[in-house]
Amino acid sequence: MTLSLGFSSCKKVLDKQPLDTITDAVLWSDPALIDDYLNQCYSEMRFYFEMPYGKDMNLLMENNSTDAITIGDEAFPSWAQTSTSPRFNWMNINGGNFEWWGYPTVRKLNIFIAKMASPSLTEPYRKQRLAEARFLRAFAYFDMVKRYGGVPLITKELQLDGPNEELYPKRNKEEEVYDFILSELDAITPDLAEPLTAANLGRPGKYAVLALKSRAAMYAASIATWSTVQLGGIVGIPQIKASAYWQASYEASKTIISEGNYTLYNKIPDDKTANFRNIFLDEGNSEVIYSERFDGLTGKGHTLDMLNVPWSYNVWNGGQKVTPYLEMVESFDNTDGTSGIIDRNKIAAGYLWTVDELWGKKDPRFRASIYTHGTKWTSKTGPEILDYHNGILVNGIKQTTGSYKGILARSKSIGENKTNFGMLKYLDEVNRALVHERKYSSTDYIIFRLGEIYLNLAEAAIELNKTGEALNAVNKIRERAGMPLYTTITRDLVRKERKAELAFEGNRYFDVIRWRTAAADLTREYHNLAFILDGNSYTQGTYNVLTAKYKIEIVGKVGGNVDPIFEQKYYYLPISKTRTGTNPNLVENPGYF
Amino acid sequence: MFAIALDKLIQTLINRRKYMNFYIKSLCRPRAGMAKILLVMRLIVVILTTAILQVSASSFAQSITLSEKNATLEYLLKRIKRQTGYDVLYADNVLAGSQKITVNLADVPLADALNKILTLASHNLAFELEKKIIIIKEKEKNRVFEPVRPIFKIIDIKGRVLDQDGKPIEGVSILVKGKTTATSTNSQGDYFLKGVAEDAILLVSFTGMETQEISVEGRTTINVSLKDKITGMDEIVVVGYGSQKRESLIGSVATIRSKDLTVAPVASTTNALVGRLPGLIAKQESGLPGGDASSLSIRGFGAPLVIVDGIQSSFNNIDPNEIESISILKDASAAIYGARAGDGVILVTTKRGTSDKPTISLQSSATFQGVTSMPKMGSSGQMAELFRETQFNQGVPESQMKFSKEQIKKYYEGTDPEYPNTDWWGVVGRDWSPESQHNLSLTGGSDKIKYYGFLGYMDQQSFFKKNGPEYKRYNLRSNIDAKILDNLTLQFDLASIVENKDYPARFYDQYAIWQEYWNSEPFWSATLPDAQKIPYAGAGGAIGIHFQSNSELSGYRKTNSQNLKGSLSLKYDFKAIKGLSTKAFVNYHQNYTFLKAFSWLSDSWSYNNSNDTYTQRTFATQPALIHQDLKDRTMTGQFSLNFDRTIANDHQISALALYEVIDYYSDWIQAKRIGYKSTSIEYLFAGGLANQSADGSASEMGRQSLIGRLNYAYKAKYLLEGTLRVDESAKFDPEHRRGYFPSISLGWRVSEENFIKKSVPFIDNLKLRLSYSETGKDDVANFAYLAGYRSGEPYLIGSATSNGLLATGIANPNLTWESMKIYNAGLDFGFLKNSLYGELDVFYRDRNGIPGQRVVSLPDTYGANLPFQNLNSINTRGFEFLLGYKGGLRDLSWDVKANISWSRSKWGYYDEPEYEDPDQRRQMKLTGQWTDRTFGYISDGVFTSQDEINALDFAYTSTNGNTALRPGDIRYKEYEKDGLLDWRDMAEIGKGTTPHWIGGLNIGLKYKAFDMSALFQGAWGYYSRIRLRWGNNFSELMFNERWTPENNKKDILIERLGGPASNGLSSDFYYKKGDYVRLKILSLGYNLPASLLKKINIRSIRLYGAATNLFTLSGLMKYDIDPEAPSGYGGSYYPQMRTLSFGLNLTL
Repeated sequence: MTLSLGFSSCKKVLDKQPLDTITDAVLWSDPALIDDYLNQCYSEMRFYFEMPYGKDMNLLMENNSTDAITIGDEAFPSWAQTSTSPRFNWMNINGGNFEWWGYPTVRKLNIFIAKMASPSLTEPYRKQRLAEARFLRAFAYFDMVKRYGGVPLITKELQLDGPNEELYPKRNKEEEVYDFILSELDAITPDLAEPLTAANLGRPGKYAVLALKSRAAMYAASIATWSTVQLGGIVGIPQIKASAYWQASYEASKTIISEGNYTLYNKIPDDKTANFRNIFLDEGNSEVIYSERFDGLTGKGHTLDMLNVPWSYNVWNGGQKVTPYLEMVESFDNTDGTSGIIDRNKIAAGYLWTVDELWGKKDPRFRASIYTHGTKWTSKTGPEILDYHNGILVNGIKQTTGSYKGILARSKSIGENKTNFGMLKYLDEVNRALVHERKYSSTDYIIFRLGEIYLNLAEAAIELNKTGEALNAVNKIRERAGMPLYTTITRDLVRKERKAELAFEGNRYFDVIRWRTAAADLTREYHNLAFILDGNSYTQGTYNVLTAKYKIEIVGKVGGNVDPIFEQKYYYLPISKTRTGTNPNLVENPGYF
Repeated sequence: MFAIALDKLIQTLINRRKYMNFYIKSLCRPRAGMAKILLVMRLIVVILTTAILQVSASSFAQSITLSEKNATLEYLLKRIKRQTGYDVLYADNVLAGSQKITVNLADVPLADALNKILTLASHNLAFELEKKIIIIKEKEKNRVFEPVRPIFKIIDIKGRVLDQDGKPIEGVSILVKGKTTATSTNSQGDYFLKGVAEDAILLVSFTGMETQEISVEGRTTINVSLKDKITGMDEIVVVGYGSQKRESLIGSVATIRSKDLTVAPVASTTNALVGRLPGLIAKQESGLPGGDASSLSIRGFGAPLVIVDGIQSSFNNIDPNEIESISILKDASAAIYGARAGDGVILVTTKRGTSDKPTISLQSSATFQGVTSMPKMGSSGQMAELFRETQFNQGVPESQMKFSKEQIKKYYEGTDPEYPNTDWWGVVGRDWSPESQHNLSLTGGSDKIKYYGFLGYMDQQSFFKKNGPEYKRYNLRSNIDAKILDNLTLQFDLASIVENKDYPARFYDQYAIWQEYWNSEPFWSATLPDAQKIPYAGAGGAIGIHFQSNSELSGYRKTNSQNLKGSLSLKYDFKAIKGLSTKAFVNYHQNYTFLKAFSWLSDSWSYNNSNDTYTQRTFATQPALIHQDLKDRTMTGQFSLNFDRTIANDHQISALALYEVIDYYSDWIQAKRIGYKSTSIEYLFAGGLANQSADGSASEMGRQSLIGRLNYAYKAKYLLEGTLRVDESAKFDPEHRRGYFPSISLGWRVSEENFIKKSVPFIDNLKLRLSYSETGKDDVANFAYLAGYRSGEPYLIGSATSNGLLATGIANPNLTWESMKIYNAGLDFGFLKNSLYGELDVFYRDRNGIPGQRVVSLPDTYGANLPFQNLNSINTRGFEFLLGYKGGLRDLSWDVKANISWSRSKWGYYDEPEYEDPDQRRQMKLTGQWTDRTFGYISDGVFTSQDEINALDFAYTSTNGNTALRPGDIRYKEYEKDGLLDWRDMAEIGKGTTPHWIGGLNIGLKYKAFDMSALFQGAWGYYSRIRLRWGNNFSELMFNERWTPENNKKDILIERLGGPASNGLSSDFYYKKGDYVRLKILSLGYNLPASLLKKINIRSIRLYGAATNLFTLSGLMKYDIDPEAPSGYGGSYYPQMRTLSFGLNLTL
């Protein structure tokens, strides 16, 4: 029957349509579909520099160590092969790694911005979405300028038959790109509603725009202050522009703080560690200015929990992908104001430490950001204490095989974490199921929070010689963290505070880039700690991680026997051979050939 | 009411009304014709049934009733033939002198009727009645003047006729030369001739076999063994929309027949083609049960169009036993398939019935499959030693070392239970995994109805011992030909293939599971004291190969597909115009695929002997279930007019006009739930609500075509063929959806010229062929002329996650098919009674309009994927040569065939920038270059001393100078002498991964009841990327062949472990020639003696043993890598299998 029906009209056989596509005409007349179009642009944004192993695991797996956190001086990517090659070698003329050449998104946004001129849409809706799109486009250019320096500014939909100077554009100057970003942000600030309704959470409001301005102007100011102008300004900004940028950043930060819509999170004032940890778990709290929202139950989840859970408490390749260096650990000072650096003389003398002696006095933000030997952890089978001992000290001799008094010695065995530290910030051991599924985590990722704005303010203030304001801003942060207040402030102290407060939030790598200190900060040997359990500190069969004593060993050369060397050219990513090959008007960045 | 109407119609049909015209016309007429079509559909079924009944029930009249005026003798004989059912035979010119006569016979016995007619029509004709044959012949002439012969004894002769395989042949005609005495063999091959002179000569003949002349010489028992005709010049070759005699073929067509396909049992038919057909590149890249089909390419082009019984469909899951022949159309012969033919066409034809007594055959085989070549993991001691060596070379401090010296020692000793050495290969695998195939076929019929039925079953099991992947296939086919009227035939075919792939969950492709093997470490025990606990094997969250390869432990992935195909065709010969016929063909083809994947992880443990405790390594996860349904269906209709006639003896004309319409539809849905609390209920409803997902989509497409073909042969010497196809495809913009694809072929049968026949008599066949065709390739994205949006990435605003909308790309209404121009010249020859034969073809293909995106020449600041445009071009050239030698000596006969072919392609044009840097240009510019150049660094073994490193006059850039280099590291050569080893030093280090040269040598031998067939197959001119490590672990080969200070050789196989990054540069150190020769198939068969079988009423039994991939010669074998393994995956794919089979073919 079907057979004859099918051929009942032979002419119709060519009358076929794609059954799975929405046409242009339908899309631009329906706000629900227009919103979905913009959603696609949102999803393509790189609002933060890769969440540690979160947003897209596969991407990171393929491009070993491309994560900003892990190519910086914060942590080692435990999945990376230990290598005998210099760390930054992949940053070469071939390009491809850790890039964001966001023109596909820019094009989508340019089309969207042009379409929003349509009179068929209601005015408030049109205005709101137009401002959002311009915010995203400014953010996209910010993500590119911080990587490549000046890039071509393209603000309209290019046509295939367009003029060559549009299709084969030249790079704009770095300052032109920053100026474009800042002017766009200024233009849209009045159009964005604040506070946002619940249904609009995830869209930028007025303060998100100001926060981006605070950050972008600060980057531009840093470049102007510390960079060398090369390629006629395509990379580097003349020093003369510095103070104007610092001022712009300062004012944006100041506005956000003084208008008082946001406050530093302090819901658990008695437990500074829990309080700090909660900033990142208590979604939409008073400190959060702008965040990317996640919901693992509806398909928009990330994988941070599964991948960063302590080794062997989850199942997929063991977790603990981001393993902080000892140097990062030691950047956190003690609550009594002393340095966080562990006494090397004591270590050399074979001193036996308890966990409390090691970590008890440390900055609460350390315990909220990093887990290690002795950290309390709720595993699937109940509360536990992380135990990272490698070997047992029996009569002064390290035993790494078998057991002693019924406790396994545990050598450094296959597949374990690289540094005996792990990243705790954002990790949710209680609420989210640590299941063997990608994209199951729902924790929102904060793009801008008030804490950063205080530190941006402090940095701009220092450079503008407003030392008092800088001190005040840093102390606000330290007070909330539970650290002693400073009485005087320096540029170094502001930067140090930034490293501790904003650890693993995707800022550190670009901070050392814009300060032009990466060559010093990232060219170094990194270390970890080993905990050798003292055989005399426990009795047959019973062993308490917290009361036992440990000999500490500092182990160097984390990640191979060649230490990373950060060369001058790495301050900018290469444009790459393919791109300069297809467009001779694109000048390659200095040092790449 | 309906039934009455139907009865009337049937009555009409039986009364031989011309209903065909009405049927053909109405088939494509909308609406109004509908009712009629339905009626006809029903009718056909009834007619079929009626026809079958008639054949068995009715007997033909033995008396004649004829009343004709002024009729030719030929016409009258035909009428008699129809009334009696007797065949009428006469030599070509016998009726020439007869006159038109008028007869009026009523119920006259046959012999009388014939007598009367012949006497009236001619004075010179006589007849004989032989069984059911009427033989008309000239009266014996000049009898009076014949010399007086000596008188010989008259004897009776009996005997049996067998074929080359020793099987009896039924229906062989045995004639006494010069006499009318004749008989034919019965089903046992036996014959009996009464009253033959003892000096007579017997002519024994059978279609497709060499006719033999045998002198009786007084013998009363003469057994005859007939041989297949050597040349096959009468062979019918299946070509596009028809068939042709081999002798009049002008295209480059390679053919393989059923017999050669089934020499050794293979799971996928594609694997039976390897090495057999000149110009066909077949590479088997996996041994996975149900996934081991070879990739096929004709002349190194892309994937060819495969047509099975007139319909585009896959053939790798058709049982080779149900295939009659496979033709490969390589040149203009493919052009009749127009827009889809550019990469060549494979035509698969299944078997059909014969007009013989029923033949039942049973085939049964058991096969054992073992791995050809595969790297194996090192022992725990070796592995620990290599880990330590790697870390030592990397400069890892002692405290960070994975293994201490003492630990390594303990692993080697193997006495401490803490230090096991588990051979995971041995734990999970087996040396020989079984496969079995059984099938039953039934064929036979009469001159009215012929039938072929087939039922096949295959079960292929895997390398893994416990609940590993398994593949089962059921093939069913029924092909029926019915002659409804003397000028109306019907074909009704039904075929179904059911496939069940039952895989463990991790087996989503042929690679994934091997990752688990290479992640399973020998440092973990395969058994635990508590047998309830699953042991952990170090493979991270995946537990280990013992878990992942066992579907009872890790879950399953079951694919069940059902493929159904039915076609109906009617052919009508017009009486009014001689040679004209028309045909209607419709086919319905559908595929259902159901996928169900249920996967989970379990708790797993390791055991610590020293304190008798277990450490939990992984935790059970909640299972996840994916259910997927895919459906697609294709409907095809073909309506044709055929003309085939020889005019004035010398002009042979055949013409075809065909209209084809194809309609495609497919859709799929998928649903997933995770968070199953238990594995006991395996359906969607029982899953958790969080993160459940559902998805689905559909697509449709259509095409219609007009096809014309004209063949003309003058005196069977000068041959001409022209075709034209007009294709219209819904894929493209209405303005650009039509394409014209013409072809022209010329042939000259030189051997038919008198000057050859006279002066060079040993030349039996010599034919020159030339062809030119324009074809297309349309696997271009559907509807690329329309812009639109599809679902993109999800984003969360407020509390609602919504998928983004992503543009499908910029529309290009101008997009159309790729076009190909193929030039082909060929030569066929056969010498010395065609015992030495061969074919030579050379070709050039110009492929234009290859869709490409202007991504390369337009900067990516444009921001969109540019539309596909018909941009690039590739040209390919090559040749094929086949040489065979056939013959026999007493009981031994042989057929040796060798073929070799070569092809390679160049980019005619590639859309690319004008590279300004000379090195970029050298390495990246494609236009004008071979398509498969591979660039990399040039290695020169390894350094054997520090002095060599110190003496280098250039610096490695990948290691920031040469300080990290040590003896044992790969030594590279500078290509560009600029003091730096960087990307500029990359040079061409080899070709691609597809062979340029392929060849096969097929040796067939027969001796009495024994037969032997050997196929050597080889491929040359390709490379394979050697990868020695998958996962963390080391292979035994790495342990044995690596560089160490003690094993300090320049041309070492594996460089120093843990060396600098420069060792990992893409270079010729690990890009090696894949050239190989292997004994692909060897089979030995024995036919049981007929005398023995006769007693148990069996016609024949053949017993055989066969082996595939018995041995291989290849440079890759030293890396433990099979040369057919996919490049870069030598150790992490489901390996090639070496098989041993034993089988039985039985014919009743």
